[in-house]
Amino acid sequence: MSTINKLERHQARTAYLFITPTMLLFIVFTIIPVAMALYLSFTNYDVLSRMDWVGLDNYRRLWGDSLLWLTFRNVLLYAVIFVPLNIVLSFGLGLLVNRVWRGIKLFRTFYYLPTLTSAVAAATVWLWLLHPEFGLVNGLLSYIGITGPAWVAQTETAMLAIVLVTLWQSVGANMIIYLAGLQGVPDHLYESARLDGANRWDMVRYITWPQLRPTTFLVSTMAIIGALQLFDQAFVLTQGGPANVTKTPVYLIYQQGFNQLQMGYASAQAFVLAMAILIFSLINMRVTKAEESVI
Amino acid sequence: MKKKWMTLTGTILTAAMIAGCSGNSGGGASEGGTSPGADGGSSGGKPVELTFWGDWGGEGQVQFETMVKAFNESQDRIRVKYVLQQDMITKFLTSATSGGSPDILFWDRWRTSLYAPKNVLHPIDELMTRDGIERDNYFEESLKELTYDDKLYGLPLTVDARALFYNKKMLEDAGLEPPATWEELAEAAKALTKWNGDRLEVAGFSMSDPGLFSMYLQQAGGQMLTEDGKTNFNNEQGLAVLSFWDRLMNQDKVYRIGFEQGLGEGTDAFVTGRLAMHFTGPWMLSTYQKYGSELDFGVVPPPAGPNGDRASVMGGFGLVIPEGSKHKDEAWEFITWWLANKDNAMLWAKTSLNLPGYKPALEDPFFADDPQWQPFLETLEFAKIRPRHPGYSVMEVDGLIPNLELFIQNKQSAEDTLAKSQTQGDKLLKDNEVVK
Amino acid sequence: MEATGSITRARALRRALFYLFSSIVAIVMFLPFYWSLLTAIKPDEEIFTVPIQWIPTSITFDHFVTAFTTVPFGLYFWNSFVLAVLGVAFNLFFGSLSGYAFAKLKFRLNQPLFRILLAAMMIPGIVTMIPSVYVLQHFPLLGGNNLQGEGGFGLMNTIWGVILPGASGSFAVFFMRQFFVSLPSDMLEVARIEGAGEFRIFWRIYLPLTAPALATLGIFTFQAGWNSFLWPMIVLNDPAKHTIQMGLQAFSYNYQTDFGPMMAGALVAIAPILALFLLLQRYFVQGIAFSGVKG
Repeated sequence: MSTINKLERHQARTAYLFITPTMLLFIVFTIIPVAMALYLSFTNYDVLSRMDWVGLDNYRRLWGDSLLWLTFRNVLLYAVIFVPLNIVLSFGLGLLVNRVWRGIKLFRTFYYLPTLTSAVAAATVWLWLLHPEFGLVNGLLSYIGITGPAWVAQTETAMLAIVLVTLWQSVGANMIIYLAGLQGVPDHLYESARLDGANRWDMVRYITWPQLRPTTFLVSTMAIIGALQLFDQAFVLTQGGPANVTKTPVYLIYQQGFNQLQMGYASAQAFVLAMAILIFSLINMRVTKAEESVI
Repeated sequence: MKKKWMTLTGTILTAAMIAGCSGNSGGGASEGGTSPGADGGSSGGKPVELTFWGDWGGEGQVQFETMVKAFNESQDRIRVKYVLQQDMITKFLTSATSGGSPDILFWDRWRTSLYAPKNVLHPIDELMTRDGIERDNYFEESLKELTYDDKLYGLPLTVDARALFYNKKMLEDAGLEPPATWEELAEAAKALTKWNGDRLEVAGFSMSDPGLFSMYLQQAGGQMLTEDGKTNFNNEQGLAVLSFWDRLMNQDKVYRIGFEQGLGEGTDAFVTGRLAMHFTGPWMLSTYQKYGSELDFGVVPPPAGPNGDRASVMGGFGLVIPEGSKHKDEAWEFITWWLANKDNAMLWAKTSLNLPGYKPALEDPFFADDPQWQPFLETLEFAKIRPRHPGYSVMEVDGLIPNLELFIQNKQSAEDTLAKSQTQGDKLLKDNEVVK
Repeated sequence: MEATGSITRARALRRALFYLFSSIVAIVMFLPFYWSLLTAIKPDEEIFTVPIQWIPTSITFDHFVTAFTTVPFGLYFWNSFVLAVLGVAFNLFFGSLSGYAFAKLKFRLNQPLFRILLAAMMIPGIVTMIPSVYVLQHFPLLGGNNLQGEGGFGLMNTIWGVILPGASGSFAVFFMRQFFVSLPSDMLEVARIEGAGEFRIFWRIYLPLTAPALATLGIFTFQAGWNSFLWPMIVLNDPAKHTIQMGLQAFSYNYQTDFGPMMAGALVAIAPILALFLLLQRYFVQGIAFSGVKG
């Protein structure tokens, strides 16, 4: 009995030792600034001249801030479309390039290139591709008789345009995460399945996908966090417009904190956003049944 | 193979570590901050070192450094150093926490109303009277933009105002004169627009920037804000602007939304001959000359409104002295050398091809004799700055422009647009007003 | 014989379809990158033709010359390189160490600590930026500071100030943990019974099995370090320490953008990551992990 306890205590001690560097850095460079930001959310901090305690004023103000709730709605709509598509597409691409055929390395590199392309180049070309009159997308659509909309300029389609561009830019990275994960699926599982008469689709569905659950949890969590914190592309492509349909919470927080110097209020908004992200991540955890063993 | 990897990795890591450790010369003090020294003038022979922050890099950096070098060579008591800060505002804000304020700051004038109340800029009224700098040598509007609570905080570096750019060939071919009134503008735009069935091939006039509403409103005789900081466009002047826009967009169909996006910087429809006329400023002159080898363009002041009012929005940069500077007198000397002296203002103008803020320089033949500057000089005479409310820009961006965009896309009536803009705008103005 | 013939034909058809489909996807991924390539080598007048000229009529390398002479690229390359390499080293080592502990070792605070690490990623970075600067500035006993962290400049304007906050990021820990989770635990038991120390088990047995994951994390971390702009700009004052991304900003000022040199610079900036990506392709070879180990 005591031997087992001793073993367990030894294991625990080693574990704490292993995580010490990470936790130390985490406490100093993450926990402390977050705590400070939390404190600031209860003040009227304007970076330059004041930091007076105002209690719940900021939180009361954001409750009635219709623009903030509009941005939440925008970004939720975005996430609901973006996250599932991202997972499906990158998983599919990962399967596609998980072979040793000729030219596969070239394809992998091409699929990863969007992640490397600078935001300016991506925005410039995609804005052209989506141009209502001269763009390729509407040109292709006209071949099947559809008059395409002004993707980026019309309120109905602006968010879809952002989904398109952000998907384009991120599936490559998730593809190689899945690719890495696919290397860890034991071959013998496929062998026995084939002997049992399973076809390719069955194998993907009953072996590959479940085996990759930890990877999917990683990809989906990061996708949710990234989606709800969307800023860069909304800024570069549409500047939050038209009519604020692509304005995101982080964009608003940036505006409030750095343009208007209302950093206390911006901090309060940030924490509300963090709460929302937390809730969605928890939902995601349930839905993907992510951690039946450890967590 | 593994050994080779290990050695390679090891070497790279060691090199990086050494670089990392030796790079620890630290010294936020000498570069980003101020050097120790008595306030006001140096004792002994050592020149006072000043830091000058700006966010212009590349060619813009060369332009600044030309001026800095000329100043340093003109005397030996003060040495200025230009330090590029790519995101200058963020850097300035973090320097408030980390210490290390610059001595001179390249400044977007409209920020003054937000920053000055926080006491981070140094007022220069006394220095101005002491040195006999004349207010009349600057556009009163530009000085107003640098003023808060009757205190002046800097001097204008450049001035600009929007004018009407037009494609000369297109207008000549259609037998038109450059428009001087709203009516003429509408007629010209309609004549120059070319549709090919459902596709727009040439747009007569650009309607891509609803932010120009303030300019149109003033041309219609209105004002954006009231004296006591409330919106002032939900009235007949505002309606006049919106009906004019409606006529252009929906009746005459001179434009299609999204037409200029995706053609690069939103202005290249003009360079490539797809857009006949639009409002923009003198900053585009060098771009048009660089990228538009076949573009023959002309400029006229903005057309007058229905009652003959002329208006344009004046913008531009200035130089200010942060309150945290330890050498304010020397900083002031640099600023006046650059901005209150005709020869140096001309050096700046010729180097950067910007309109200098110093009026006597604008009378120089370099500007007076050059036809491309004339329309801007004329416009500057009646151009007005944006209202000096700290919440003005966010009111436009979040209250007014989204509603205008809905109007232009035919999703909201003119009355609703103005009413909603007023409610949302007033709220934003209130949330962002100066807190005493 | 006929049956074999049709199987080979079916296989050939499948392969052809694969290449066709993959190529179409590749073109979509590649197009914007191709535009930035073209822009870098086209003379100024040809950059903004409508529609975009996909095959240039004349080529110039002037933009590369301009880029290299306007900005000290060599120096920036080195600075970015140092930042990126140090970031990779720290994240890979501490990330896998902590990830392993969270995945495989039993200790009471395992779940709570891991969840806190994840939660930290949900707070938008912009509101912790200024508090982080404060922490760097007032770090006790460094950079001339006394015990209370007053008097000097702490970690500001140092490479460590740039690296340490992200040296063992939550992402790296999360990422490695997920990969360790998917590895079987019986090797652990066996090794323990044989008397191996915990670190040995980690270093000798489990870590080598995560080669694809390490390669992927390496690419991501390198890219993140290489592309980082905002934080280095805030922390570093000395122009001699500037990074590549800060250098690329040089081509955009006073409402104008010089696209030719900017794209030239951006392309040169991408080269190392691309090289790294190609170099690490070898680790995405299928099925290296599990010979002779039961699932």
